[in-house]
Amino acid sequence: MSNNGDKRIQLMSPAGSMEAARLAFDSGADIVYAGVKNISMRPKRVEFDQDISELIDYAHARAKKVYVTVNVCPKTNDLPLFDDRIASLSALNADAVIVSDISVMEHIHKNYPRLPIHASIMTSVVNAEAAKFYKERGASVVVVSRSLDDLEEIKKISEEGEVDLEVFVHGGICYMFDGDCYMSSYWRQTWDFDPDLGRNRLFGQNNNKGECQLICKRDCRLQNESGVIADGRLMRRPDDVGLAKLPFYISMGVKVLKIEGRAMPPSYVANATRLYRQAIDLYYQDPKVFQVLDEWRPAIDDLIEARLEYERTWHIS
Amino acid sequence: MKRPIELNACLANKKTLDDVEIDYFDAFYLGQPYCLKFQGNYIVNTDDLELAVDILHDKGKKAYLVTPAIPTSRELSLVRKALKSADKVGIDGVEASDVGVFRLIRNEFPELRVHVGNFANVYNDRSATLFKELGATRIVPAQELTKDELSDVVSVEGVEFERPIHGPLSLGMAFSCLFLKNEENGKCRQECDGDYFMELDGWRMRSVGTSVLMGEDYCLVEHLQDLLKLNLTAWRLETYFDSAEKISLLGKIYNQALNDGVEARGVGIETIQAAGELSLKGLCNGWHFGRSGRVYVARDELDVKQRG
Repeated sequence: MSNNGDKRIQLMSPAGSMEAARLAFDSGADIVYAGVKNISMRPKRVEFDQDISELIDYAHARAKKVYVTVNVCPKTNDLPLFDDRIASLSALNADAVIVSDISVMEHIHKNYPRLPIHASIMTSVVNAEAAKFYKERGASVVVVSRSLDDLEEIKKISEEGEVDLEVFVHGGICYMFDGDCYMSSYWRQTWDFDPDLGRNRLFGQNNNKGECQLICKRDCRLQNESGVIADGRLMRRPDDVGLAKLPFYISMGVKVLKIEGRAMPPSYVANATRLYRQAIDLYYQDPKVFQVLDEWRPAIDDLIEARLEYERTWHIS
Repeated sequence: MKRPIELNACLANKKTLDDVEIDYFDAFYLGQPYCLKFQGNYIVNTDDLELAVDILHDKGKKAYLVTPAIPTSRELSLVRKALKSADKVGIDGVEASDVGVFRLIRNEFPELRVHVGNFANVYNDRSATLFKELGATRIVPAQELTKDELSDVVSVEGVEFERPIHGPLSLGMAFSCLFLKNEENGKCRQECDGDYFMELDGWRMRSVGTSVLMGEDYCLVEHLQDLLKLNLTAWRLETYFDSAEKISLLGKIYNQALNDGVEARGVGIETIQAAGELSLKGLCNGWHFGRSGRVYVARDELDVKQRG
C-alpha cells in the first residue's frame, strides 16, 4: 500500500535508469530521485539525459513524483550549462530539485520560484542553524546528513530548524561527511575530452563533482614508524539499516524516508523499496506494536551483500 | 618594504603559541576545526584564547578564531561561548566553514568579521558573490580548484580571498574518530598528535582521527610569483598539527620566499629544498595545476611545457 497523496511519511527510492524507476514505483515508492548528466552526483551510466522527461511523465501518469538531483558544485565555467539544464527541468515540471551549491540554490530560488528546492545531503546539515540557513536560501526541505546517527540531534534540527526533513534510511555511508571529501581528487584526476560537454574537463574528481572513487571502501593500512597498527577496510562504515528507527522518524514528522543507491542495480532498488514499504505499512497498521520482524533478516542481508558486491566490482564511467 | 600579502599560520593551542616565532607572520588562526577534544583547543579553552589574542595584538599581529568545520547543534553552545570570548577581546575575524556557524555569527555577533572556510565549498564566482552579500569579509575558495578556476572566483570584488599555500590540507571530515573507535574505554589519548599514515596501494594519507590529511605537505613555494598575480589578500600555512619549531621554520622559509617573489628574483632552490626537508613524506601541489592532488609540479616542469 503506497501512501502517496496523504499525510503519511513518503518513501523515496533511487532511480539510476528507467528500469530502476519502474521497479521502484511497482515496489511501493512514492517518489524516485534521479540525476541529469554533468550536473549530478553519480557516474554517467546512471544519469538521465533528455530522457528525464520520459521519467517525469511516467511518474506523473501514476500520481508519483520525481525529484531531480542537481547536487554537484559547479565551477565558474560550468554555470551556463547548469542554468540551461535547470531551465529545462523547470519546464518539465520536475517535482523538486535536490541542490548542494548555494549559488545554484539562489539561481533557482530567484528564477524558478515554483520549483521546490531541497538542500542535498551534500550540504552536510548537522545543526539547526544550517537548516535555517538553507531555508532562508529557498530550500523547503533539508536532507539531514547521513553521518548524523544521533537521533536527538536530528530531532533538534527538525524542531529548531523549522524546516521539513528528508532522512536517508538505508544504504551505504561515507567515511567523511558528504560534500566535504577531497580524497578522490587527491588520489587521481586527469584532463580529458568530455563529448557531452564538447570540451576538456577534469575527470576523476572529488565527490563534490560527482565522481567519487570510493576511496573509503578500500583496504588500507594504518601505520606509524613503529609498524602497522591496523589494516583492512578501516574507513568503511557499515551500511545504514534504518528499520528500527522508523517509529522515531515518523513520530517526529520526517516527511520522506530515502533509500541510497542510484548506482545500484534495479533489482537492489526493488528489493530495498519493497522491504521499507512493508515496514512503513506495518507501522501504520498499529504503531504501538511495530517491531523489526525476523522474517525481514534475509532481505536485509541480501541488500548488504549486494552493496559489498557493488564495491568489489565498482568502476567509474 | 611592506609585504603585499598577509602570511598567516594555524595554531591549535597555547602550547604552540608559547614557542612559535611570531615575527615571521602577520596573523594567526587560533583553534583546531576538526576535533573539540584536541588537547588545549582554543575553541574550548576560552581563557587561553583570550590570552592569545592579547599576546598577538600586543605584538602587532592579527588573531582569528577558527570554528569547528561541522558542528552538531549540541556543539554550537561551545561555539557560542568561544565567539563571546573572541568578541570580548576584539578578535580580528572568525572563520566559519559550516553555514550554520556562519548564520549564527551574522545574527548574534554582527560586528565580527567572518571568513568563509574551505569546507563551505565556494567553487564559483556566484557563490563568492553570494557569501559577500551575506556578510562574509574573506573567503577561502575550495582548495582543489586549479589556478585558472581560482582566478575566476577571486575576480569578485569587495571581498578578500585567502589560499592555503603550505601544509597537509584536510581531505575531509570524518564523523567519528578512527583512534577513539578502537579505544576500549572510549578515552581520548591524543593519538592524532602522532604521525599515523594510512597507506592504500602505495599512496598515503595522514590520519588524525576525525580528519584525513594529505600524506604529503601541500606546497606552492616555487609558484609564489604566479600567486602574487591573483587577487589574494592572504596566504595560509596550514599548521594545525605541526610543532612550534616547524611552524617557525616554515615562517622563515615563506618570509624569504615572499620577499624573493616580491622582488621578482624567483624563489631560490635552497628555499624549495628547505620546505621539502621539513616534510615527513614529501611535497604535493597537483590540484593547483589540474593534476591529482598528491602530485608535485615543479617550476621546471611548467617551464618545459611552456617552451613546448
